[in-house]
Amino acid sequence: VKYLSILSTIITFIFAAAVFNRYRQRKGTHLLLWGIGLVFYGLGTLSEVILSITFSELALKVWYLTGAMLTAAWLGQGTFHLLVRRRGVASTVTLVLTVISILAAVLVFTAPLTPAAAAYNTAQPASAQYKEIMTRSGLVILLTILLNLYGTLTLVGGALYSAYLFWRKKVLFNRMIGNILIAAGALMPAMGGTFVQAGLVDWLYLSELVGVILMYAGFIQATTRPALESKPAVSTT
Amino acid sequence: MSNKSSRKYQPTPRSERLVPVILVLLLLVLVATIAFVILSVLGVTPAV
Repeated sequence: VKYLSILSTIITFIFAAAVFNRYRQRKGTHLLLWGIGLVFYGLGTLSEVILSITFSELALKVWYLTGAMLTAAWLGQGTFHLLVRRRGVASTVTLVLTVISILAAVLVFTAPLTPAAAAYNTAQPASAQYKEIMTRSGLVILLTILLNLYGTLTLVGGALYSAYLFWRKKVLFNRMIGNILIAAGALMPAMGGTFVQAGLVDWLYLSELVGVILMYAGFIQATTRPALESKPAVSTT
Repeated sequence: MSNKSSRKYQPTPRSERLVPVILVLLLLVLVATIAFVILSVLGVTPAV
């Protein structure tokens, strides 16, 4: 588990740097939002590494806040920004997401831990122990569900929609493949969360690694411009 | 300068068949994942 998380963390931060670099060159709010989402992804996997070495209340709360609550929503918000062109809509939703994210952070960081924290076992994954250690209010659980639903629908749905458009119009083959990879990669951690609920706690870590590799491969594929290709009208990069 | 013809690609029979199948499969996985989350909210599957 530890090595999977270390690999995921390294790849995620390299991926985030590539996205921020593209944002620096091209601008585009969607790139900034994807970059922020990837930083959350990386903080989540970095927290897993720390929690596999020693117990830390801060690491556990960062792991839950970023990994379980914010990553999917912020990545999805990047796609929402790219695909929703109506003036003001995407910016308003980003503002709402920012407020909800701050609220989530306050709720998570002010929640006390249970006495079970003293018995935390670094040999076991955090995903197998957090429910006994963290006190999660109904609002935190509701926000976790809503943020993940929103993020998964927008990120995966948006990538599939873009891939479908490229396929139907027979244009930009590399971007079509890139979006398919991004959709598949984004589904991995989403399914990983489902595995956790089903008791397959180790699968979360594998799904995070495979997920970020697929998304990064999709990003590279979609942003590699073939010879003679011109700037597209619609894309998710 | 935009050149629409250069953005076009020539689909092979294989890609014509394979891509929609993959898209539908991924869509089904997305629906299943969302359904699991909703079911967990309703208490049918383990809670989040």
